[in-house]
Amino acid sequence: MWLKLVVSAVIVVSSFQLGSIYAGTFTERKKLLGELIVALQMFETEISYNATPLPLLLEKIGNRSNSDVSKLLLRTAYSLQENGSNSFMEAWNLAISSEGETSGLYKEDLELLRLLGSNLGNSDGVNQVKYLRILMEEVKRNYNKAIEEENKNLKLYRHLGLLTGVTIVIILF
Amino acid sequence: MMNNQPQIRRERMNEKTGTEIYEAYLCPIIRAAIKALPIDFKRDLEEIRLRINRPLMVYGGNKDYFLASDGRLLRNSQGAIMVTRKDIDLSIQFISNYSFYSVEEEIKRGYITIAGGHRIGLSGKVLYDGKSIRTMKDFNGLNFRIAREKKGAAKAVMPYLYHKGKFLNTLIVSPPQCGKTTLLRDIILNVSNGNASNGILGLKVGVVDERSELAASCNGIPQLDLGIRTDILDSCPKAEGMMILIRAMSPNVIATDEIGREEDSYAISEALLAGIKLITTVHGTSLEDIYGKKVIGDLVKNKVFERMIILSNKNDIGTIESIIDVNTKVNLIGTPIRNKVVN
Repeated sequence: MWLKLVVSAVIVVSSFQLGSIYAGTFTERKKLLGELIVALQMFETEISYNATPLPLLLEKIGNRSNSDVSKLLLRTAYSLQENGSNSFMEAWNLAISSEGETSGLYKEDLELLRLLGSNLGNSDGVNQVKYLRILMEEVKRNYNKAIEEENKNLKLYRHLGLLTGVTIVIILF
Repeated sequence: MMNNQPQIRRERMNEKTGTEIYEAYLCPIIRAAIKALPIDFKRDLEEIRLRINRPLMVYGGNKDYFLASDGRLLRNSQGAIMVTRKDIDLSIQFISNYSFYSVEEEIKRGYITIAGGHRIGLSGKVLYDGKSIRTMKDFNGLNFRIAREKKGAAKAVMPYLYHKGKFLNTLIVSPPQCGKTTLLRDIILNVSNGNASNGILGLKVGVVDERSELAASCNGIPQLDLGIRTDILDSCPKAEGMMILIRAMSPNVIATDEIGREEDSYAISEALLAGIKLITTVHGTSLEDIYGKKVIGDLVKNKVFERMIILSNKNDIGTIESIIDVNTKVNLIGTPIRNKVVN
């Protein structure tokens, strides 16, 4: 009897956890997109007021936090300063391939990042700011979508996890 | 994870291998060829010229050569590296530190100064908005001009520029390409550092470096030595720059290159009122030649300058023809000083 109870509890708790973990990916994406928006704002300020060159700028923004967005920025900064044979876009895309794919970002978010990489640094300050603002709108749209998805799915998957656990227990015993 | 990132390297120069700083700004194929250049030619290397869809050329020792990818110098273009759009674009990325916007102003002027004081001339499609150059794009040519610091050019003239230990207002008169800027730079260095063995005290020198030629500043840091008591306003228009220096930096001496506009004369009179000494340069060949010039002619007639150094390239580039005491119009040196140090 006690054994049954313990096994049931383990099953219910772990399937609830699984549900939560899956639900957590929605929160993670929202958080990353939020960070990206802040990063884009910093890009805008630093480029228009200080004209900070990209390698330093990426390092500066990247050092602010420990998220996947920061890792992407730091990896690009590092490869630009280290090897001196890639263009900015090449270094950026390589960093997206290694850091971005494993992050909580969706394919459509990574597309936006690639678009950003193809334009960063290759025009004067005024046009960089214009471009960053357009891109920011796109990222914000994805961010709002991510919030919607989070609201919709967070409870859903947690409950789903819990109910799956309970169902398994009922079927087993 | 972040702490495991290796320290980001800021210096582009590899001191261990002795690689020249400018090499890092070239695209990889050309970088490898320049690296493989014969050592004695590399010492004389003056220019590396990239022109789109044309063979790569280098210039040194008064001759130009085509360059093969293994660093061989060629007399004709067969076997030379052909420069592509990608080579130029990649080099531009390195030169601008991947950030076009950070060198906007330099691009408008047509050149960028990099670490080491080397200067890269740009050509391409210019966008003009009716009044001024907006920017340049579609670059088709790069000219890497290798800077070499030549100290000692002013050694022979320094004793003539002081009277009873006081520095005198000095004007350097020279035709183009005669080492005027090199001489001015070395005079600034000497005035700023002083000369303890001769009892000459170092003076605070304010430099308005409108074309970034004197200090060759890169990110605000002077790449060439202008002395320990020198303050430099980089890329600043001369008249405004002089006023800033007078107001803010309390210099004993103000130095600028190529004075001659109307507004300069007001700034100069302000400086003189404040008891500041001047050293500047002007294009010309003789005292009479200068009298005919508008702004500088008036300054010379009013005896603002006490010493005038006249350069020529009659014998060697940078020959000092005469040093004139403007008050008495006497030439202070008997024979022209051949100045081997000036290139």
